[in-house]
Amino acid sequence: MLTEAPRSMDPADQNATATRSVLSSFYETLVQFDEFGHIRPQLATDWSSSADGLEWRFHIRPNVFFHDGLPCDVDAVTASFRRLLDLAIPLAGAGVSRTVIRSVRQDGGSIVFTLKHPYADFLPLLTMTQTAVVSPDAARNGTLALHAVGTGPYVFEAWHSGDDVLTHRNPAYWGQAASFDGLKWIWSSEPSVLNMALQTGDADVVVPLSPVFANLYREQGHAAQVASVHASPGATLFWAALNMHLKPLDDARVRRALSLALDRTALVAGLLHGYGQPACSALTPDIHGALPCGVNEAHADLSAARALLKTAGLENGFSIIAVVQEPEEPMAEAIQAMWKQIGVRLEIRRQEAGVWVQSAFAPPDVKAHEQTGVILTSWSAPFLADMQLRPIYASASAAPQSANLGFFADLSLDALIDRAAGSEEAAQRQATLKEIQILLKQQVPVLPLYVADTLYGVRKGVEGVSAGPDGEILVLKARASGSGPERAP
Amino acid sequence: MMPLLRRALAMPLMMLGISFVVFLAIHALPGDPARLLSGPQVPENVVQGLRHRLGLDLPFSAQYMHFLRRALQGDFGVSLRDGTPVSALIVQRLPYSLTLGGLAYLVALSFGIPGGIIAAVCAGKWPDTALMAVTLVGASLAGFWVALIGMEVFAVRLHWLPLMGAGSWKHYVLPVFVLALMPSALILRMTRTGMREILRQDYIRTAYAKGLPSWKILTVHALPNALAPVVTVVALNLGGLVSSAVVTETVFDWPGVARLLVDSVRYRDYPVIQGITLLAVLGVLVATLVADTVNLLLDPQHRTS
Amino acid sequence: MMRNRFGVPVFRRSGTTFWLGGSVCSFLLLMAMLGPLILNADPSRQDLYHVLLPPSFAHPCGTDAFGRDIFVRLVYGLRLTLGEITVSLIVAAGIGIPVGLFSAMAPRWLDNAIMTVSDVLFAFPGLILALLIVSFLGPGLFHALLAIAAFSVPVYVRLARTMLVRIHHATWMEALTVLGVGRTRIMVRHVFPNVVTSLLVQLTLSSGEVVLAAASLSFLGLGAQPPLPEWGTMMSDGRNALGAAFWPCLFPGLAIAMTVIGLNCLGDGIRDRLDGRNKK
Repeated sequence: MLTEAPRSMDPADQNATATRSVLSSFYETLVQFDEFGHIRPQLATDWSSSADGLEWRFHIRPNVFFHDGLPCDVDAVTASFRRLLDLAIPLAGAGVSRTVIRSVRQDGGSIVFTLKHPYADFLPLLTMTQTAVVSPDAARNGTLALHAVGTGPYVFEAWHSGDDVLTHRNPAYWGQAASFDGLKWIWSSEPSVLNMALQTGDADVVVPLSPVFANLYREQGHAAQVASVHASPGATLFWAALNMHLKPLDDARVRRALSLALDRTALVAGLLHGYGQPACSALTPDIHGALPCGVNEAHADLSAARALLKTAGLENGFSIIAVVQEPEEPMAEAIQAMWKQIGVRLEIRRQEAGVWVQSAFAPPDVKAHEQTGVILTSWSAPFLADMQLRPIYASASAAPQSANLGFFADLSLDALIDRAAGSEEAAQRQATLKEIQILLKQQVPVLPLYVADTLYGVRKGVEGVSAGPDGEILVLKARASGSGPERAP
Repeated sequence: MMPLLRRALAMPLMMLGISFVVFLAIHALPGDPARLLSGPQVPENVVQGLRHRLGLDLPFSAQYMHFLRRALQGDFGVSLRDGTPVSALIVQRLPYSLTLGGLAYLVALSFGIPGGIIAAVCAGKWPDTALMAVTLVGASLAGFWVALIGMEVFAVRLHWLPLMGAGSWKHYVLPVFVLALMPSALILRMTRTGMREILRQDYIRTAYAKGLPSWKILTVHALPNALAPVVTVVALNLGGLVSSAVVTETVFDWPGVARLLVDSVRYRDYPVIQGITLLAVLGVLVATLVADTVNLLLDPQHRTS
Repeated sequence: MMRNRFGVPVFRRSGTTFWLGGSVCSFLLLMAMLGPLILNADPSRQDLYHVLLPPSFAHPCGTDAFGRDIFVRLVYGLRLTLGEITVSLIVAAGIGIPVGLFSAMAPRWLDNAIMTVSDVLFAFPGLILALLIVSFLGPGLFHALLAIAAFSVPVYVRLARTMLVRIHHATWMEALTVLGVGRTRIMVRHVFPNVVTSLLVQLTLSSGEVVLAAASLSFLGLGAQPPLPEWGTMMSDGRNALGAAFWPCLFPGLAIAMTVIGLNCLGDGIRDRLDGRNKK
């Protein structure tokens, strides 16, 4: 059971965690992470890259078939990637692939990618559901959005818009067959309903479980007897972008003061009930080279913040406006109370998803008109350092082009981001990443807040469920323990 | 009969006017459906392409004419979200909403009318006071609060009822109860008022004087006349029922039309919002018309007024 | 309505509902005025290390998801609730009554047209209308109140029109005129109380509806913006913890129920006192 309905059955045309959870039962990618975070073969059996890092060759697994009976051979895989890269087809999830991959061709029994520039995170990119291989027939007929056809262990059966997605076991699966007859995906936007469903057995697996309920499953009582809750370290960074064009946020001292006034430890304690980590840097802990919070860095330093505001001539504080989507509103409300202590009055505009996207991605003149100073949101790109930096900080990514929502522009940072993306050598890369993070700590174009754990609940009797770094739930290896009845998540 | 006929004839005209207002209102909503469907990380040119594909880049008047032309042929367009025809979506979900609403009214009527009669007959005595207190409380509670507390108590703690969704008869208990709260109170009060009014009439006194059994006087002579305002209220309250259905279906995850509406507003799924809103208006208009007709049949005096 | 020998309405007193409703409402008014002065606390003061504490002596209604004292917020929120009622009723009655009076005196075709529009608006599902209005204006307490006012306007249009028409044609009116009672005297002694009390009943009963409607809108995320201690928003936020903590949802719900019951009692009470025939 999930918190939102799937957006599409087309893996390339979505960017939502909940959708990816559903789609991961139907589709497979060339390579995949195992539970230890290592890249393992999936539809590709092995691979190699050229010395300059621009050409990647993958051998395709033989005897794999799509659910519609077509063979998943190198032709089909090439066709699937050509579709992903075809600029004439609007695909919501194709953005990264299109900026990284120049072309794709087949060469005998293998597929060869040519990149636009060396890209250290290319293999992690190929684990993303967006790059999953789809049936060429379904893609051509344009039915993918409603009817999934992949190679995965479960076969798409029906999508009752607003109700559920039904699947059944793929009898012809190339790997170890799924252990359940089928999976049923349901969703509710009410966090408390997810918790109740787990307790009543209306759902066997729920993700994400609101941290409020996690401790129920650790105490003595009904909840702990019927289900257990697991926390998996997440890679979703919650942050607040500051509008660099709006006074007084154009002053780095003011931005640093805002950061100093934040008690990130309290945010984690109160909002996440401890299930997460405070974030003081731009990169999430899954990246090698990410800086952890320094001593006392995660706590507020109100006197330092006030002093900084005073040097900026703002000892009486000021007012700013924040825009936030409904589910992330508590974050804004907590920050509002923290900033109030240094005299900064934050007006919160809680917006529906669509309205929020418009205000958050608005160009400078619109943001100036609407007086939008702070934009609260989250971003997740596990293991992809470049994807955690470039869209948010590079000057070319300024909204509305991409997610540089506060219009931060720093040429030296742009150069550093390019250097990090191109460097294959680990030590050199980590040094660059460190340089980037320190620069961002001085400039504070964005306030990192915390990284939340993925919490998921599993009923007793179901085993083998795990969560991906992105917060999606992986139920492919799930099985019933003992002789319990077979159930669906 | 003439005013009824005139109103029936005016209905298409009213629907036309309302459809324009609703169309205008929906398109004036902030939020761009193409952007919403694509998600934030998608470049503008892709979104522009989608906008074109969905016909959202046309001028407003062209979009409205297009809608009207198709609507007259019974085609309300397709959902922007997944391309399903709006009519199919509604047909798929309407039965759920209708059974829920129908059952709620059934419960409300079977509680409200006998309750109202009892309250009227025992006016001022304890059954009257108790019933009035119950309706007062019932009408004063927020539907979603009752729903949430009900879920917590009956589904999570006691395990008597399923939590949410539709399926067995047990799934109906909580949502029907929540939906029936307000109309029950309303019907009971209207019946009580109507009955007390009627029971004071001379012909009822005559009937008692003639020695007719009191159950017969109540049901055969008094009730039909007392029901006229009840019918009107039930019809007028349909809008209120739709409103509480929006909340109830959302809480219970009921696969009905009202929840579809909430989702569609969130995603700015114009054709679906348009279709459902017009359906709701049509339903309410027809219901008032039916109520007036029933009133006419119940009470011949109406004809003269 | 109790009438004297000329059939003119007069008042009667009695009725427990009236006293019950009256005392609940006066208690709430008193709390709204004095409560914040007595408590003298900050309703938006957070303590993220002590969230969702169960009710205790220090926090009679527990704390919410931000560690804020729910009781303090309820008391401060009372003013907001009363403000909500006032604003939306003033807007609704302020538009509805003039339109209704105008309609009653307007030429027949215009009267018909106005009443048709008003009837359609009345029949239109209120929450859907509010949903559209608030989506258009953007979420916020004032916008939500405007939306609520919008769907209560027709009630006042009809009420005002009916009253004017009825008074015009009332036999007691003719009787008084025939008896030679002066126009001013008729207006002050008979028409005015008649109109004001009907209006009062309607306003009291609508107040309850306003509170419930505002709560429903807040439930759908379209109501007050944080950190306002608005009851509907508190209840709606509280539901996210339901299952782990019942108090953030229960107490605002009880506060709303108490207020609405109080208002409905008062409305019923006033009506009963006017409507002599309803009394034994």
